[in-house]
Amino acid sequence: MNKTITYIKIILMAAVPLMLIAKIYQLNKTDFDMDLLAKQLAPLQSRIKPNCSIGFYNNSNDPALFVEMQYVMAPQVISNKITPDTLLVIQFNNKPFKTFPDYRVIAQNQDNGRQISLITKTN
Amino acid sequence: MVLIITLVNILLLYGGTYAFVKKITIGDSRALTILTSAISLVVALSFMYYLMLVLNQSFVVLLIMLSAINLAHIFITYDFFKNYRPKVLSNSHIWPLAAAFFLTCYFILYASKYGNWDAFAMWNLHAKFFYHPELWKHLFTSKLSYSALDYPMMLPSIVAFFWNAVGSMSPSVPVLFAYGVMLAIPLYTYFALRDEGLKWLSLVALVIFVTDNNFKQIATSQCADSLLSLLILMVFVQYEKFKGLINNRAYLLGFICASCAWVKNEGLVFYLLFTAGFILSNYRHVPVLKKYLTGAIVPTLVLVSFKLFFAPANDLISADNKQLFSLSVVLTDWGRYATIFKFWLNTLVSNYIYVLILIFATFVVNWRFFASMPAVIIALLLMGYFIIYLVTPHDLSWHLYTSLYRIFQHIYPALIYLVLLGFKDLQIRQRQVPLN
Repeated sequence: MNKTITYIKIILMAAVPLMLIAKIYQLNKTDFDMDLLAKQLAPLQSRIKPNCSIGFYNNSNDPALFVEMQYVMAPQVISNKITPDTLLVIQFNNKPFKTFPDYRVIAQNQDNGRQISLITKTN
Repeated sequence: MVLIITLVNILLLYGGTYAFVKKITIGDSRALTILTSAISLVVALSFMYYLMLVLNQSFVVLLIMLSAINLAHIFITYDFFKNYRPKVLSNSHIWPLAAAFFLTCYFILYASKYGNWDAFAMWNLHAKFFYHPELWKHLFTSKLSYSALDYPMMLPSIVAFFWNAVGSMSPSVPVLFAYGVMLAIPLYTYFALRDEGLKWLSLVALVIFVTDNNFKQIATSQCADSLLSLLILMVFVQYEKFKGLINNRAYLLGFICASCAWVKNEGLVFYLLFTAGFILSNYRHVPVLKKYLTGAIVPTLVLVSFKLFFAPANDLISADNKQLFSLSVVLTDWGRYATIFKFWLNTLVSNYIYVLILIFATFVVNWRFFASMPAVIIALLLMGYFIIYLVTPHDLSWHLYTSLYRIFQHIYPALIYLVLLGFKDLQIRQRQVPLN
């Protein structure tokens, strides 16, 4: 009986860290929504000046998207308004597109059924 | 390289913490001492990281500071560890190992990479600012949405500490930390009850945690609620072990209790209530109070500095909270009371059925428990939460719906520990009844 318990203990002690490693490996290998957003935003992030005020617009009215984008962009602060001179615009292809006539596009990225643009006001 | 230096420093610092905790928690089992030391060390790391940020220093400076602390204590603790003999796990350890296995299974199946809304809208978002020592103050001046900027910094600073150690903002760090907290709560409860000789009741506690999906879901969400519940549990465990004895455990008690306020604002309410209760019940023992307050000094100073110099006003007490200006209207709005009661009852029945069963059992066989100091503090804490909901500036239903199931989690592990421990007092009393 004691031997059986010892074997079970050894198996459990080995299994728990192995399971943990497998989970972390799986999480790192899988691309979640946030990872896709981060990949799509990466080329635009380098074009944003540090400490410059960035606004945000998306045509899906989904607050979760803004919070995800806020997390991905941190520590660059993005406000959920379209008042600043520079805007990050996320427009889904299956929703009506809003146009920003007084703005010029600095960078743009089309992927995952959406278009992400960094636009700034023309003087 | 930074990771290796950090891990070596943490290991050495753990040695020092273990030696110190062992000295002041005489009578605790080795497993409980190991857990107490590890948790206290993580809490202390968060204070050190905050100090680093406040002093505008880099992570390298913090590592140098940690190395200096280690060099200073290593000679003192050398004698302690010279006679240290690691123990082989006994047969009874199969139960916590099995619990760890089942909790890991849940973690594998359900833990998400970025946690729930609050995790990436608040806790991990704050950690991203704290990861950059030169940018962390921007968090408090920024106009971030959905992010409570007045929340204390323990969880984000721990995550930022380990992000600096691994050299990137890897999502694995908050995931692993949440996992660690999820394991620590049942194990701490188990070993604390086992230390009291409650062999079967400690197993009951393990079964409760392993089978409680609400507990596991909140624990893997990467929010600070489980961390706060772990510290509150520690406070009550240390208090029960301290009771009636004049020893140095009061240092640890003060430190952990005050640290609750560094996790969440609700922890501040708990800290104030527990400290008031502790002072009232120990007012004759000035040396004990001195030790308790000495232990609480560092966390209290850290919290006060954070609240005074960095954090914006809390939404409940800010000028924007119109409810505060119409208190009489709010307090006599019976509809609000009814809504809160209804939500509380629904949440208790659907998410905390184990607590209801245990409280009912206690009411039947051990009603004296409800007059004990921990029970009174928990009742007052719940009353405090009730008042917070009453004067919330947010939509009441939305506020209750999004937070109540997590709020109860703060006292859940402590309540399970205290109620199960109460059955021990019952056994003792039954033995004391003279036979006719």
